[in-house]
Amino acid sequence: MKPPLPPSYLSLYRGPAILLVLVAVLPLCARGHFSYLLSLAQLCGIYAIIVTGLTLLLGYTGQVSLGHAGFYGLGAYAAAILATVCHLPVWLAILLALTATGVCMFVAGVSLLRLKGHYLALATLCTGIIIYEVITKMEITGGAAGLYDLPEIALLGQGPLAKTYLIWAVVILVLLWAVHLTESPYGRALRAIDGDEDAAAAMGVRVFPLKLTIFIVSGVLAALAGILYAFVYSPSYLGPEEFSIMHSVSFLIMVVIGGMGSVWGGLAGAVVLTGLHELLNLLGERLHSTDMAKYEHLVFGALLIVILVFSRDGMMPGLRRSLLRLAGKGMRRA
Amino acid sequence: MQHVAGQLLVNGLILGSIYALISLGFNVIYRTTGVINFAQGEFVMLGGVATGWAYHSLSLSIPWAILIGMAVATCAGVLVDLLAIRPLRAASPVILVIITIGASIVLQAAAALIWGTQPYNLPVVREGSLPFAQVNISYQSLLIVAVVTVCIVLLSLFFRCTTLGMAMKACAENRDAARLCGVHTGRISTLTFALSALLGGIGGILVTPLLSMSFDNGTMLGLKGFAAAILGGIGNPVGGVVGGLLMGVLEQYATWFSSVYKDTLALAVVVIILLLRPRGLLTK
Repeated sequence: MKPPLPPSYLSLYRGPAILLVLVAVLPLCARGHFSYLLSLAQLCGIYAIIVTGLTLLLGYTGQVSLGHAGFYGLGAYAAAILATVCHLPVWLAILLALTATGVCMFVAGVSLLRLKGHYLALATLCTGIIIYEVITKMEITGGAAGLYDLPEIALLGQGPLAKTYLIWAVVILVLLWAVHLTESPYGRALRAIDGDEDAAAAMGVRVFPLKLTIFIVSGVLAALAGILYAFVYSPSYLGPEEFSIMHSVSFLIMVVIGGMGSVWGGLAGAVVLTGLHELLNLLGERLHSTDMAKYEHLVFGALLIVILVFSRDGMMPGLRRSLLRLAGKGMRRA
Repeated sequence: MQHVAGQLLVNGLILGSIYALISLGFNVIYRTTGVINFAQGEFVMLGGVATGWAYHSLSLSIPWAILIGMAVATCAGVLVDLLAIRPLRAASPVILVIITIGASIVLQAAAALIWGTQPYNLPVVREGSLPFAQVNISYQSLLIVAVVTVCIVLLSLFFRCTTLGMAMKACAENRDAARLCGVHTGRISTLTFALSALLGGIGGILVTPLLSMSFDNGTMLGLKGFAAAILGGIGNPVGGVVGGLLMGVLEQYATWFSSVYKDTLALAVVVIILLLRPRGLLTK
């Protein structure tokens, strides 16, 4: 096998650059249901941030987490409570919320990351459900009714377009950092941990600190997404439903559907799955069918199975293979 | 106070025996195919809902309704294997887990479409309860414990004494070696799913008279069964049964401390147990 060439910076930045152009131009092309499409794009962006962290954790390092919706909620609620109940300035609230989530992730990571495989899955699942339960039942979080009228961050101005640009600016920064990380020695160390922890340790990789770091980082990214959700996406209302265990599962599905091996796969998974959900929702409204919610889930589950059956390691690798195959046929003909 | 504690213990053990049955389903599939099947809870739901539907809408007698419930659950198990698991035999464990989640979404939606969203109920085997040392045990719960015990005994006999059971155990030990010995591993995988779905279905039918069952009850029951299986050490059926009983008792005693945070408390204890025994209760 040939050793992989060191990536040139051109190829490293090509993806984020293309994304930057797309993000800048696409909203301007949207006509008609403008604000609706933009709010969908905002949600895609928020999920993309969580999924990027989860891709680093699961796809690169091989540590599964079924609790990320909980950490997502932790960030959102910590920032919201600090800003509304404690009347802190928004920026301080955000900073403190991120730090608090980081500390929680450190404590959770130090204890939970000793577990492996299915045991880790169960422990993180329990942690996620516990956070969700506490959010729904405490008084300070507004319980099941949630919190209203949070401060809004308007860094790039008011209106849905500015919100979308703000969220996607964060997404691009996160992706840039993630791409950088995965191509660095640290990224290769993470992959080594995924391959075989003992072998990685024998090669001089400090396994536990690295696992812990990436666990903390992925949790803080989820918290960042939660803060964007609370202060940018829907500052008028923050309810606990967004942070239920089903969302942890769907984040995991996004990572896997996209193809676990790359940050870009995660992004594709987040966008495609969020879009698919919305599309099926929309179809249901169009058909005015009360039964549609059930059909929606039926189609969603079936599509999930079909995608995985036809490209067994996720969408992006499958797509790349079929493109290569097509290109190969074209070459032979020419 | 003592009889409250006793009553909670008994209630917990009864609930726990249902979790034990579900965790057995997880273990049977995991041992033979290496798949963690998150659709297990939906088999439980299908058993309960289909039986309730056959009893109320088709006005069948209880035995026939139960037969239909078991058949529906078993068919669902076979379909999950044929349509979702078999085409992906060689995929990584995470992909297989996600595909069973997909299957569980499909089964749940299909149940809602076919049988509606209303909860189904079944009559208990006999009204009333047996007073036993200051504790009341309903006849239905006695039936639950009896049936679960019989299932466990039959299952262990099946694995020990029949050729089919030993073929399944061979698959669990080493798929390729089993294949070399002439075991049809694909067929075994389908049978495993059928068997495990049947176990789940029986659990659903047993628990429906106590809790009633609607299309969305399966997920939580499945998660509890998963927790039980992991807690006991995945792949260890005895551990799964112990884990199931423990889950049930934990849940009941948690209500004693705080009715609001009962799930939180029970799950926190699960995490603590995992930290103390990182590979499950009964694994050395």
